Amino acid sequence: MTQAILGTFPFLREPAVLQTRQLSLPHVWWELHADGAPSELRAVAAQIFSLAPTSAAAERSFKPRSRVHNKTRNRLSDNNDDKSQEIIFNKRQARRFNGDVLLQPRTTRMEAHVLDRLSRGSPGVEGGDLCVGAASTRWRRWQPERDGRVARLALL
Amino acid sequence: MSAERAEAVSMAYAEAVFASGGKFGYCTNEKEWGAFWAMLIGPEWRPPLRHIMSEKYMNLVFHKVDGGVRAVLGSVIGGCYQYDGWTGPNGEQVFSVLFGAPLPFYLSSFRISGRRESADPLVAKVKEQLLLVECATDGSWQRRHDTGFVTDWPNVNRSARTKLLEADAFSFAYGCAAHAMSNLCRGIVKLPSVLLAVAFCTMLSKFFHGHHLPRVHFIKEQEKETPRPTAMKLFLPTRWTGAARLPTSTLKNRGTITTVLFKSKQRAIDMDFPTSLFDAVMDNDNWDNVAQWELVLCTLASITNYLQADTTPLSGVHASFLSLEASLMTKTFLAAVRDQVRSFIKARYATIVTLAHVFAFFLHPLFVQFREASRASAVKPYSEMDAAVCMDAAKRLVRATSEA
Repeated sequence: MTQAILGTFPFLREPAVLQTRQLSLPHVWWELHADGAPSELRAVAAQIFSLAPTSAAAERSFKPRSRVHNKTRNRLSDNNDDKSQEIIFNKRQARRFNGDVLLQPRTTRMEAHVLDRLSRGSPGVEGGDLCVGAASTRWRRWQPERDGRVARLALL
Repeated sequence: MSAERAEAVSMAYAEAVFASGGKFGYCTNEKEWGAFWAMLIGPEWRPPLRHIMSEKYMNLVFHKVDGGVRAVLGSVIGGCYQYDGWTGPNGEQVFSVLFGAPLPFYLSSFRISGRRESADPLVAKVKEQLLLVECATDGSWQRRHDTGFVTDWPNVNRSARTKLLEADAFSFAYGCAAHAMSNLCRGIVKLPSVLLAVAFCTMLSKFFHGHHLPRVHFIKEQEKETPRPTAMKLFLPTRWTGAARLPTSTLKNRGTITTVLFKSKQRAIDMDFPTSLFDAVMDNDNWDNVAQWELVLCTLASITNYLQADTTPLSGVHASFLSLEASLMTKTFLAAVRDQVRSFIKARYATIVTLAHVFAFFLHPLFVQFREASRASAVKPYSEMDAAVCMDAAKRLVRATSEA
């Protein structure tokens, strides 16, 4: 663990990471590129990257519900309401997969923006490949489909 | 048309209607739709009746979708619950539970009876949801997986998080980062100099957008500019990225506003504008103040956008707060203002940070270069060394896995 935090594993040294970090989602990266890492560390990484940082999806799930269960259609039973919400939301989420492949660009514009800010605040650290085009980034709406890159995902 | 074919068509029709949120009896009783379906498929097929849609086909489509989702959820390595409350059209309190790793799928919703909900029934309901997933995957899920739990800010949710963590139901329970960033934005907007900038932009926006004659002159001038500036927008506190739209759109229209006012002064257009408006627009300090805070608000908006995405990893939270701190360092802020904003960031981050956020940052390959920024950060709300925090998080995960 100390080796992972200090970055002394060969696969965590910067040139190696810079070459591979764009290729996959973080827990897939740990599966594909973390040669020499103990299996416990890989398991821990898989678990930690399965956590979501936000409950915004729960907010978003109410939008289709409010469309189905509205002021002019307010006698809908809880059962049908619940099922409608699941059908609409989960079908939309499932559309983001092609088989077991999640259709998502590895590095989004917003991620590049965060990296750009970080590199400006870290003297001596170049943003590198990910910050190209983001140096003058002002607020832009996140449009993952623009990149159109596909990230291979093992399970989810 | 054979019976099997008619059933397949009805099923596909029902799936399309439910997936788009249409009504159950959609287009069954209208002659025009009947003619359309007859031309498309043939006169022998008619859409199912309303009560058949709401009973038979609702259940069929639901079980089809649910089966696919449960199969995915049963195979995930870890997992995170998200839940949030909503007030329905009849004033009922509905809570939705989502589960994913990290892309969330909707699990179910439940109602809380009574006008004021408390944490205990919520905790009981969430534990029921845990059992739901366990049953759906033949009881193997709880033994194999470790979970997180994330909610937004109301007291009842925070209390439920604490109770669930104490009951050892989850390894990590924390607050929503997108909500935190939105609240941070609201806190920053209340600073006096930001209030000045917002008031200046709101005044311009309302004047040139809310009154007929100024609006006509304004739009005429806008049409002469290439590219045409965007419309001026008001501050929308209910939209997470609404704070940035006001100063951005105002700055883009600075040239148009100035031209309109000068033309009025030179009698090129037939309208008298207030002298105070002219003075305010000609004062460069106002524009400098707006430009200064617009960068901060835009950074906040872009980070909020990033954090609210389903596919944003947990490591993005620590990185976002560090990048926000870094963006302050490069601006020409007064030291006192910078310290105040930094203290806001630190206080807001303290409400959501857990060991997992820091640990995820240190494990993410994208942020390997920026580990030093974390070590030197003044906004991180914990006093321990990063390595110690990561070690604690790893121990907690390993312990939870071994117990499972």
